[in-house]
Parts: sequence; C-alpha cells; structure tokens
Amino acid sequence: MLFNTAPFFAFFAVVLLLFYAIPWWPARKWLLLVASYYFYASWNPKFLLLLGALTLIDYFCALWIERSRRPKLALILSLAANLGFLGFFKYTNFLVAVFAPLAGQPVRVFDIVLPLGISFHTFQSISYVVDVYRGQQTAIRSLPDYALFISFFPQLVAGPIVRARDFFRDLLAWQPPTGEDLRLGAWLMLLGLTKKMAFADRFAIVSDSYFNQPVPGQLTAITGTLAFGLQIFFDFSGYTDMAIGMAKLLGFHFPENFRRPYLASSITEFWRRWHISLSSWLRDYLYIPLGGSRHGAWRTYFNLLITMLLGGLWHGASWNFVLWGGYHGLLLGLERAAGLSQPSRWLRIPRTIITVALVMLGWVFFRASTFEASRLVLTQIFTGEPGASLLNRWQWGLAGLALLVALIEDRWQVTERLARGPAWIYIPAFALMGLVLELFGVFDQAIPFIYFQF
Amino acid sequence: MPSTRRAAVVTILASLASVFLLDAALFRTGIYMRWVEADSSTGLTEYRFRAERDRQRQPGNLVLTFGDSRMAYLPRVANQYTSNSGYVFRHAGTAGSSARDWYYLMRDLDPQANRYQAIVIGLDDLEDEDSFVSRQDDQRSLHYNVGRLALTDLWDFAISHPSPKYQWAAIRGGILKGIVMQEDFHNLLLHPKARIRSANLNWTGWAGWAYDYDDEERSLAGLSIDWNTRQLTFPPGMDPGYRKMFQETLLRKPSLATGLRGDYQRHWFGRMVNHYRNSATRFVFVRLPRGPLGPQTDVPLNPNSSIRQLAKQPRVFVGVPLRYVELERPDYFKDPLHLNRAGAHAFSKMLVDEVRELIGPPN
Repeated sequence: MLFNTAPFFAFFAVVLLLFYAIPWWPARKWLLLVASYYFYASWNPKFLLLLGALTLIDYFCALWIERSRRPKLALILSLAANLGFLGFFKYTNFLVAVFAPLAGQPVRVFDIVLPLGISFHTFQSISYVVDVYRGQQTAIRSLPDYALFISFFPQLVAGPIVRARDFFRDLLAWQPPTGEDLRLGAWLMLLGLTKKMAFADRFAIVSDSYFNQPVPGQLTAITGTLAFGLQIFFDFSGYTDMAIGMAKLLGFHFPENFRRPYLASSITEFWRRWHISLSSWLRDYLYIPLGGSRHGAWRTYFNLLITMLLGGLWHGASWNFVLWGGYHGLLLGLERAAGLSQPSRWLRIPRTIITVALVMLGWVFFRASTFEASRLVLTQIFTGEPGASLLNRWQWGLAGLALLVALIEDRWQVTERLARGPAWIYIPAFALMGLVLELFGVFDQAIPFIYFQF
Repeated sequence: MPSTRRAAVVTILASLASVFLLDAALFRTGIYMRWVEADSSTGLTEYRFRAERDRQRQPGNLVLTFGDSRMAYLPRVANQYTSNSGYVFRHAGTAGSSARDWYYLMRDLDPQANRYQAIVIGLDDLEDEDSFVSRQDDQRSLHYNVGRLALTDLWDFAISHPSPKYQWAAIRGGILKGIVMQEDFHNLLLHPKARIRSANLNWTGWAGWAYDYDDEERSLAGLSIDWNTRQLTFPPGMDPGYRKMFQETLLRKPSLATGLRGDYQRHWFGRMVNHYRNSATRFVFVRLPRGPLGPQTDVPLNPNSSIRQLAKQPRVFVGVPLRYVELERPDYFKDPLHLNRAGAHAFSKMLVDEVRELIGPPN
C-alpha cells in the first residue's frame, strides 16, 4: 500500500473516521496499532513476525535495563538483535560478496527479501533502548504503547525516525489536534502528494531512462543527474510531508525532516537540512559516542568519515553507498579544515551553487547501479561531448517553480502562515496545489518511494 | 488567526471542493476546450461536436453518421445526391472511436432526440465476430469522452470498463478532468504560440475543412493474393515493413470468439436506440468494405448477433452484408484497412442509395 495510491487513501480515510468516531482513548490506540499492523501486513504478512519479535525484545530489554544492576547486558542483547536482523536481511549478500573471494570461496547469492522499513524501525528501537540505558527515557510499561511507537503506520516504512520522548509525549498525554494542526496536516498531505507525483515521478521518468542506459553527452549526464537529485528530494521530502501531515491529523507531532536542503551553503548545512532525523540520529548515537569533535582535529575528521561511511552503508548494501557516504564524510572534513562549515552572509549564493553541485555529483554514486556506471556518468559530466538536455521546457519550469517556492518558504515560512491564515487564502492555495497535482502528477503508474527500499 | 477544529474541518472540506471547482471551471465550462489540440482524441471529438452542434438545424432531412476511420465516406460527396435522396448527411465519427464514444456524442448533439431523420452506423462486421482490439477496456475512450462526461455519467461510464484499473482511471478522470488533459496541457506549455495560432485557425475553419476533406489518391493497384497458398503479391516498390503490416492485417487468423464484442455493442447501441425510443429517428447499421482483397471466406450470418437483435425493434435497419463487396478491390484502398479517394467517393454514393432504400424518403 503505497502512500500515493487510492487504496492507501481509502485505508487512511477509514482509520481517520474510526479514530474520531471512537470516544474511548485506549480503543483509539488499539485502532492505530491494528491499522499499523494491517498496513505492514498488506506488504508481506510474514514479516509481522519479525516486527513483533523485535518489538518484544526491545520492550523487555528496556524494562530490564531500568530494573537491572547489569543494564549493559540488556543493551547488548537489544543491539545484537536489532543489528543482527538488520545485518542478516540487508548485508548478508554484500558481506558474502566481499569476504567469500578473500576466503577463496565462490560468491553465492542468497534469496533474502529485505523487510520493508527495517532500517528505520531498527534505528528507532535502538535510539529508544540507548536512551533508556542513558537514563534519558523511562522504559515504557505498556506493550501496546511500545508496539505502536515502533509500528505507527505514517512513519513505519520510511521515517522520519521519531525519538521515543517525542512520540510518547503525544501518546501518553494525547490532545486532540488543534484547528491549525488539522489545516497544516491536510496541507502537508496534499503538498507531499504533489511533491511525489507531480515532481519526483516526473523527474524519475527522466533519471530512470538516463541511469538505466546512460548515453554520451555532458549536458545529458548533467541533466540526468540533476533529474535524479530533484527526484530524490521531492520523493523523500514528499513522503515525509505526507507522514507528518497524517500524524498531525491524528494528533501526533513528528519532527521536521527536510528544511529546503538545496538552499544549503555548505555540506555541513546540507546535512542539517537533509533527512534531519537520520543525521541527528547518526550524530547522537554514532558521531558523539565516537568522540565527536572533542579529541582534536584529526580525530574529528576520522569520526566524521566513519559516521558518514556507516550512514552511507545504512542506505544500502553496496560499495556505491559506501562511496557516497565516504564522499560526504570527506567533504565535511575538508569543509571543517578550511573553516567553511559556517554560513557566510556575503558568499551565500556562490557557496550554495557549489554545494548543490557537489551534492549532485554525490548522487551519481547513490543512483548508479555499479561503481563502473558511476565512473562512466562522472566521465561524461567532466569530459563528455556537449550532448543535449534531457529536461524539456516545462520540466525546467517545474524545477524553477520549486526553487521559487523554496526561497519564499525559507524567507517567510509560508506553510505555517497558511495553516494559521484566513480561509480565503488557504482554500485557493489548496485548489492551486490540487491543480498542479492533477496537471503534472504521474497517475498511470505508481512509482514506489525511493526510501521504501532502505 | 486561531481556528477551531470545526472551522478547520469545514475549511479542509471546502478546500477539497475547491480543487474540483477549479478543475470544473477550466475543463467543464469550455474555457480550456477552446485551446485543445485539434489533432488529438479529445480535440477531434470536441471539434466534431462543436461543428455539428453549431450548424444550422435543417429539420426533416438530417442524417448523422458514426464510425471509426474505416467509415471513409465523405458527407460532401453524399450531399451531392441530396436532390435525389432528400437527405443531408453529416458525420460525427472519429478515427479509433467506437460505440461507447458515439453514444455520448450523439446524446449531447441531440438531447431532445428530435434532430435527425436517421443515425447511420458503419461497422466492419455485423455478426459479432470478435476483434483483436478490446473495446471495453479501451483507455482512449476516456480521452474521446472527457469533454462530454457529466458527473452523472461517472459511474455508468466507469463500470462499462471491465478492469478495475480502467474503472478507477475513469472515475478519477471523470471527476478531475485535468488528469485526462495532462498531455494536452504539457504540449500547450511547450508550444504555446503554435497552439494558440492553430486553435484560432481551427476555431473558425475546422468545420469547413473537415467537410471539404478529400481522401488520398494513392491505391494498392497491383496487390493480389493466392488464397490457396496464402501468398501475397505486392505492388512493385512496396517497403518491406509495409508488406509485413499487410501480411499481419490481411492474413490474420480469426480472433477467439469471446462474445465480448456482442455484449459491448448490445449495450451501447442499445442505449443509442433507446435514446430515440419516443422519436421517429431511425437507425441504420451497414457493413463497411473490409479490405482491398476481401476475406478468404465470409463470416457466416449470425441471426442472433447484437445488431440483428436490435433490428427486431421498429425503426432499426440492417444493411445487406455484401452490399459493398464490389468496393473490396486494391484500387479502392490506400492501405489494408482504409478506402482511398476513389473508394470513398464510390462508397459515399452507395451509402446514400442504401440508406434511402432502407428508410425511404424523409418524413
């Protein structure tokens, strides 16, 4: 059940209606839990067992940590379970491909299906158990409450990675959404759907055709890569907007996950704006425990590199993702060494252009299927014959429109104002957004969200 | 501005309604259709509709014809015989269209069911021989009809497609017509000046050009077949790719008899006939010339075919199946399916004669 399909909207409408029709709060929580498991099972019911097992393990480990004199054992057990399952499902074939040749063994490919959203819900579980271990979070007593935290359908399969304290603040003292929340929620759902169907899917058609069969030409490679850069942003931020919007309609508040990342004037700033819930997770549970920036410059660069390498590997089991992570780690280190990680008022525009160009180059590793394919595309970008643009006039127009909206949003926070503003502005804005969706959305094929594969 | 929950819900519902209203303002009022590409499924239907609707009504002698591209008759030629036949012919068929599309167009052209003396429908088959193309699940139908569909047609139109995929596309596109008009709109954005120029020209000239259109002269003279060996002899110099198309079209095996075509025609032609149940308008079904070589053997006459069942009703007539066999000659065709200029002229004259014979003089 993809967010951009009619069955999902029917499902969500039913859930929303039942949620508000039920007067008893515990029953509402059960409804959300059952709906979430149904949502997950609609993809592959077998993996409910995995989700349930991890939920039980982490639930009991957290209680054990809180009550035991030897909490580290429970923490290790929880980490081993989460990382073990994640490693088995996601990295077995990759590790076999790496180590089998070293051991002189033939490479076997195991038929392992990656459970939907495993990278997200394991990270969410880990953050919860670690927070309990650190004493920053009390262990949740109610198993259904904890199960809902892990399985809550708006963010189950592709985030944002919600921290326990944020989620339980809403769940344990649930308040009906305000009028502003409802308006913002509905707006974000439409905005997210438009980002996905009218922007991401349009650019997906261009980038897929290019990366599935790269053709020579410098401009061809640049526009093919730009198309992917736009696709992945609109795809993932569109999904996130929908998730945040749905949560708001149900009275939950998810953290912001994207803050106009292509307006960042440095790679450091880019990571403060891109997939914020993941980058802050990596910061809090990996970079800082590694020592962060507390042990000198070289150790800081090393920590950055390790964090980004693992962040890259989190996205997928291939050397290309490792390279992509390493590339960003390297850029972060270089920026820090050159003192360019802080924003500059006067050089903001040229630095933004350079940052976007560097990010786009990184996307080549992310999108290309192999290292050799990445090398071919990069060769075309730097030394190819002129070639032709893959983006036509109205696709450039869509990109320009998105940039304009991003600049306005960055300056005036239009979305928030719209939710608070008068109905006579909200309604026409909603209608215009709907028109953009219907005139540019890809309706004949449901293109899956990119981050569903992670 | 703080908003109560109730007010927010009302605002959200009004916003959802406003998406529909904005779409309706653009695509249900004729604003956008003024600029639609004439050479498209929607454009052809809308220009045909506009041309026919805006023509001066001539009570008592109008005959409206429907058919796909194989209905290669020319109203201009047919009307050269008005003094003999007593009828003025008009055409509302478009290439690729079928019974469902003709129903909606006919209904909108003649809502009172009193405009035409007769409705003439040209078909390549009267015996319900199944076609290799599914007419039920034909996505083009939404594009032909998008300008015609009202909200009240939505369910009816959607469930006439057997597959849920097409049903959903029909419901979605029937509510928000902009989804169906996407490609047209994108082309407008790519070439706005050219579109506006052609729309302005078409706005005034299309009806006249369509009426004055004459078919191509090229013919297939030299084409022959030995039915025993199923060997085709082509005119000299014919392109190998084109030859393959001939082989695939003229030598194709009969499609499986599924009964789908009969069901489809029974439903939509039934509705067309029913629209005129209280009027004097008559229906005439004719079998078109089938190809430059005719078939190897004729499909046996099916007395229970959808058309013959309809013809049991008063005011519904079926033409003689072999009436146009004499036109099934290579020199009357420009390709494996379509008549050329000489063929279209001959067919137009013969059609006038047949209609006159079947329904008699105007009432």
